[in-house]
Amino acid sequence: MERREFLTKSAVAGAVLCSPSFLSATAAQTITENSAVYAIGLQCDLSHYTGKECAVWIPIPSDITGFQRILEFGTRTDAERAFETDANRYEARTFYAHWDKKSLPKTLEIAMKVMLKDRQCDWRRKRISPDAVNKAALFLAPTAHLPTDGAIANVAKKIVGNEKKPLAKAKRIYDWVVANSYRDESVHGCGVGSPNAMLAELEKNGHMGGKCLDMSALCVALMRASGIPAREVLGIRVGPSRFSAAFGSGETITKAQHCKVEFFIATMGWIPCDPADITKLVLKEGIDRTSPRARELSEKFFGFWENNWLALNHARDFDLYPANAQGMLDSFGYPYGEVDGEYLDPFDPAAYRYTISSKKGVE
Amino acid sequence: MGRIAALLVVCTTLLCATEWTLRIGGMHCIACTLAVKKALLGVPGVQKAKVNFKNESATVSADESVTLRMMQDAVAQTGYTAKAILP
Repeated sequence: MERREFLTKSAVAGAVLCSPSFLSATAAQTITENSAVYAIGLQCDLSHYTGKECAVWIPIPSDITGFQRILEFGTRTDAERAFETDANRYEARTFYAHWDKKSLPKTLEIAMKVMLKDRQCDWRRKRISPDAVNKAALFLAPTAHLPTDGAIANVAKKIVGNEKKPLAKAKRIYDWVVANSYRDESVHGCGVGSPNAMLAELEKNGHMGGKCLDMSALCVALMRASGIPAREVLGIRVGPSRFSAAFGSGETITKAQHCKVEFFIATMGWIPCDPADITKLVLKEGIDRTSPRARELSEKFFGFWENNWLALNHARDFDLYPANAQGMLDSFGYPYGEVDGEYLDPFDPAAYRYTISSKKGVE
Repeated sequence: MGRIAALLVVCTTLLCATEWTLRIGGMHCIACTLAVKKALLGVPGVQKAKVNFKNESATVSADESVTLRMMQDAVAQTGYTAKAILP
């Protein structure tokens, strides 16, 4: 059965299905070297919002050729309206569910099996289609949270200097973000993702603290200001890392969201990098950012992402579909929810009542 | 008897409640609505507060003792601004 059709049928019927029978399988996959399979589940229980209208927009992953494959996917819900959509500016795949005031018990389960592979850039020149180049150019434009002028433009110019080669410019910017930022554990979730706020802190205090969205957004804004298409990639850690506990997760991944960066080189395509994880490594392992280990992993994570991280989308400053009451969403790494039009705090999953789990190596 | 008294207290509170609509300034994302709501609910006498990022507004139900200034001060302490919207 085709995935979308299955989802529509199960959602409209509100069918009571027994796990894992509500999973819909796609073609069989062979597990190869540097690949891993994970069973991922999301449970959302809004039964405590009696007499209130509730809606959730859940970010869900898509296939990404070469390193991310959704093997099985299914949902179970008692929502009046529930469907999958990517009808938004960034085609961010979304599962939407809506419950009327009288609905009970207001629950949603999403289950999926995914295969992830290490993503390693080989740095060789390749032929990139003109269509891909044109699409990438969209990621040069500023958005509400990603300015490319003013302080961002000035700092980008200083970092890049006379360098003309796009790849070398991107590396300079990545190294600069790693060298000048630190992980601030007091920041909620993945951070606000405001490059201007980061630069203001740097000017005031000589350093800038934040979390993954903050550092990724700064890196993206500086790259865009330097003429390099770039975007944040929101995702979630789904298992242990081979490189450091700082980069991994356990089996409860409700708070394991993480943001990385991709930039585009016209002769290579999209290339991943992760400045924020190096600052996390420095903090968690108590090492100096100039230590051999930090430098080695900093080099490694320019052009690489590990197979324990599931990419969700690269949406920023966009309108959800169907429209929400609160308006433009700044990023979409967490389940977004509204109760009677009011925002549900995704950084407090216990009060919101959602959990996300992951199990590695499930056949 | 106790129930009637409690009901009377609730009815009196509701009847005396004032509805405010405020223009909230400085919110840069939806999560800011949480901070503004928390600030408004922290004002003694505020019963309900609903904040909307899209409309940059808050609707507040409060006792008659609550003044605009009290709400503005509370919101200002979280880094935002509040102005009354006249009906």
